Amino acid sequence: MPTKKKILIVEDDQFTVKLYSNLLADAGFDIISTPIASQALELAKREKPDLMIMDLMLTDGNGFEVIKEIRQDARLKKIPIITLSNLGQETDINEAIKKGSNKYFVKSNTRFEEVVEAVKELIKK
Amino acid sequence: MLIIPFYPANRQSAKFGQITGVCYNICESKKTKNMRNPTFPEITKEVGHFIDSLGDGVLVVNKGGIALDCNRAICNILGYKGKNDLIKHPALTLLSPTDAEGVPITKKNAVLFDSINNGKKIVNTIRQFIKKDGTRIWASLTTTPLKDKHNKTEGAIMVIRDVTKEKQQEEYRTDFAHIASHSLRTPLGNVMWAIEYLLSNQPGQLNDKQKSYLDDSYKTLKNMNRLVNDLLSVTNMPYKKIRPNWQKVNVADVYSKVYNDLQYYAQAHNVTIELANKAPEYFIKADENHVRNIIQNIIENAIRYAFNKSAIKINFEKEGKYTIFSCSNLGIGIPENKKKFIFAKFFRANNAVNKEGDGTGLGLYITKELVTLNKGKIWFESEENKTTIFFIQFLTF
Repeated sequence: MPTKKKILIVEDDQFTVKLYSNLLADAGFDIISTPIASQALELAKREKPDLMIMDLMLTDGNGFEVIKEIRQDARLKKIPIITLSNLGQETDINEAIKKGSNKYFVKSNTRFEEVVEAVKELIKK
Repeated sequence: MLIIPFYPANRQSAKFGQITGVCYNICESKKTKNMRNPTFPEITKEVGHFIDSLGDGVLVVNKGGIALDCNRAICNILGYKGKNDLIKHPALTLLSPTDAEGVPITKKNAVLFDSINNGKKIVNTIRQFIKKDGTRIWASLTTTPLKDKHNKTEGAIMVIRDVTKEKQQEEYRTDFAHIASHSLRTPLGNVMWAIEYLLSNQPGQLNDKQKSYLDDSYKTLKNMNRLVNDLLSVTNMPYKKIRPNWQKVNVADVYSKVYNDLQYYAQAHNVTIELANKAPEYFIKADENHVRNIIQNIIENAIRYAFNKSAIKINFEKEGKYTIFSCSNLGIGIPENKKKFIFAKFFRANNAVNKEGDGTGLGLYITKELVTLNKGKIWFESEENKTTIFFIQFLTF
């Protein structure tokens, strides 16, 4: 049986994490998560996820910096990153893409199926 | 001869009556005689009075950047008592400029010297200056080279407009948009996804009554989300320089995403969405997110105001260098005497309010703004209680 692909969720809202975990687990993925921006890098190094899902407004920092740090780390820079945020302004979207996010979804304007499709597409690459 | 032409930099600044260029006649001054070239352009008494009456600060410098003259407004803006506190001092010392990010400006990258050294006018550069009391102000700076009768640059005139209040308002708006985005959308998005999950039957089979309640809840949340999106767009639109991220966009792909998005909504209104020609691969030049908003708004409207059990018809056609998207419905239509208001902010026709109480009156306003941003056109044909067709012209890629 092939190993399940692993997704690291960096999100500080517990309801959101529960929801993502259930939806992505149903779609066949293994889920790990952290609500703490400063732990994201260490967790990524240890767990080597196949993809990361990032929120931008985190309790202890901003997701933009985490994306930037991931892209600057030789061992992690190739991990695909999906930003799932409710910041919908073009400046935020452009900033996340500029820092290295592969996809950006405004949560409340996106159906979860679209996110699952994007996860599958990015992991396949 | 005395010439004082006004050059509004753009329509926006023209509204505020900003002066971005002034010419001087040539004569000599005692005050700063030793600091200027004998042929340096001079402010006459009449022009001096006129410049003193302006709300924008004016500072005249020689080619070394030393202040030779100024008006009262610049003293007020920078917090100095009188002109003598400024004259004979280097402009960069007086202003202590930094760029918008707070990085100090030096002689090497100052627009003032760019203007002097290259003989060009530089309009509306945003800078932060430090006032005499140490507080910071935001300013819009325009520098115009001053030339002598041999057309040689001998200095520059700096026109400084204090935009601190506008900047603060912009920051409040950005903060509001961030807070509203995060605090309103997060719970909305979570509950919508939770309902989607339940409706997918993955966690367990729902009975008809449960499904019906969840369908209604989803519809209500969708409406609320639309309201939040519309209010945020309208908050930002007039103030932010939204620029399209020009891309090659496959309209068929965008349409199919919108189609999927609107399935629940169409079912709830008991209408169908039909594509006339089978998803043609038309490529347009536009911002994909804007196109999605535009198409979604138009189809959503068509659904909302359609008669029960009718069909929304979608079509894409190529016409020369344009691609036309059209969306027609059979429904309440737009009354003849309301047609001219249909793209106005917060406008809703009476028949629309009667049919659907929950609209914001912002959808078509936002749609038209986005279409215009993407160099497109929008128009419609409508007869009350009959067919309404909206057309949108995009640039073909």
